[in-house]
Amino acid sequence: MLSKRVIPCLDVRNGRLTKGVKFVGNEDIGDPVESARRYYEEGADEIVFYDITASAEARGIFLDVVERVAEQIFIPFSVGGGISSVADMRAVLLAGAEKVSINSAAVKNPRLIGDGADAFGSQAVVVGMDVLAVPESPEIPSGYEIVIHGGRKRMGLDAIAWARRCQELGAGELCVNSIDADGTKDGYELKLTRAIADAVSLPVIASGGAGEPRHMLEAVTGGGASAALIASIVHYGQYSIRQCKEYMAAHGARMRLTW
Amino acid sequence: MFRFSPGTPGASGPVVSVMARCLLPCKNVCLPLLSAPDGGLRDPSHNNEGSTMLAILDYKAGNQTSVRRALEHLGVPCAITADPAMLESAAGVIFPGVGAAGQAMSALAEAGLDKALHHVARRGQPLLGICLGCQILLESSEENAAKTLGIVPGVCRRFEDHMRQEDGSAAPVPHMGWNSIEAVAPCVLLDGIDPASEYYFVHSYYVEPDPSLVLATTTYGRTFCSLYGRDGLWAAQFHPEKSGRPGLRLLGNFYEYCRQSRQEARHAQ
Repeated sequence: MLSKRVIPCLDVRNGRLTKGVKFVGNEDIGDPVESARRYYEEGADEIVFYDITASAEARGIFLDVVERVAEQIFIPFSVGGGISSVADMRAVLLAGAEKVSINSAAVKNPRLIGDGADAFGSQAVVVGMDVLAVPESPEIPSGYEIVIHGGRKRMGLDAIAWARRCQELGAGELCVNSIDADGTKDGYELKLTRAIADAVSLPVIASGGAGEPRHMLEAVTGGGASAALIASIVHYGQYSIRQCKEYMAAHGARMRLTW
Repeated sequence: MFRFSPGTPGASGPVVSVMARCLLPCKNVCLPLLSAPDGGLRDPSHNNEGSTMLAILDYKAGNQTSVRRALEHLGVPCAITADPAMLESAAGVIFPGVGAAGQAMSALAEAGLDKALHHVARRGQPLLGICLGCQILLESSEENAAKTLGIVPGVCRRFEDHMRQEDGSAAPVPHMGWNSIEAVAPCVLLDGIDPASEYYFVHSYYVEPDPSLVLATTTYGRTFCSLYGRDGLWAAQFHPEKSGRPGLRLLGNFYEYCRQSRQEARHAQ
């Protein structure tokens, strides 16, 4: 049986690790390669890197980070941020990532999902979705709307409908990030995670809001997620990844505990 | 005793549409040991010369660089190569693979590497197939209804849709993530590895080699073979290069086997 995954997320800006709260106020919290190696040693099941700079010259620095990571950690990792073409995908996969994560670019150009899946396989294409809770309406019947540009732009697209569409187009996995919960440490938006997990047969990664191991357990049990994405809970040394995983295993989740 | 030998590939399996890469199933075609005309001509003399380097077969498989990085991390001398002379002189060959069976077979055939792999097996040179490499060492794959290398008796099949995991939750295809393996026969590749270790899998197809070759199984919706082989020819459905320390140890064990066989061959001279 598959183990549930714990996935630390590293936001990288100009080659440095940052962590923002609600997508603003980023601060430098260290070297992404060093952090990745530490998380690998601590038992991370996968790692996600987001390039949040997106300027052309910073892109080179970022790809260099990806390559250095690939030389030092021997678990799968994915890369997102600034990927808007098959060529961009190829560049990060060649640099050593297993998967690419596309978000705004997929909303603007859904064909990118299928093109990526055709070129590299569905398992290499993760669609990240930023979701905002809104009043239910005919346009957004679930009450969850897709937003882009870090939550600044609402797309008039229902998150459940978009999740199904992503699956049809060939996505291999969905990373569902609640803009409302992101950075709050109050727990994942479980209702959202569950709704998406029930709507598709793809693995769902819960993102946004983890403040303690209990939240991660909730995501993979009641939330129906296959994986829990985490950031500040481990970035500042509050918990180790091992502590998180042992807590989850002790409460009945199947976890990888030997590494 | 069973011998690997290059032989005539058996019947190809049913056609199945594909979506994720890294595939293969097998159903028991209990081929009477693919007896090839030159069956079992494992000539140890190739070990008399050459290096203690591992060759990673270069046919642009998606994970070949990851395999190289893992070996380099272990301090194992290695090279990604399609050069027949380098393949022949290597202490062992790693056959990586990510992608679809049909495309991979075309790429191998175009470069003449299908023959090179048969030669590796016939010489008895140590060989390790990974993921798609594990699948296409067999005779056929349901993916693309491909006739595959036929170096090992067996076939590759697609996972059924609507499978369930042991806890009743859905088991969608591809099987992607960390899973355990259960050893069913001793294998030097697993020496020193905690049996509770898990490995990273990404595949939509699973292998069914000749049952006598199964070394470990994994359960996801069904129980399937995740490691098979014998006598220096092995194949893993999972990705040791992405499976953390246990995977690195497995690669290190393979290298150690290659190095020792080479030394023994030298001493035997």
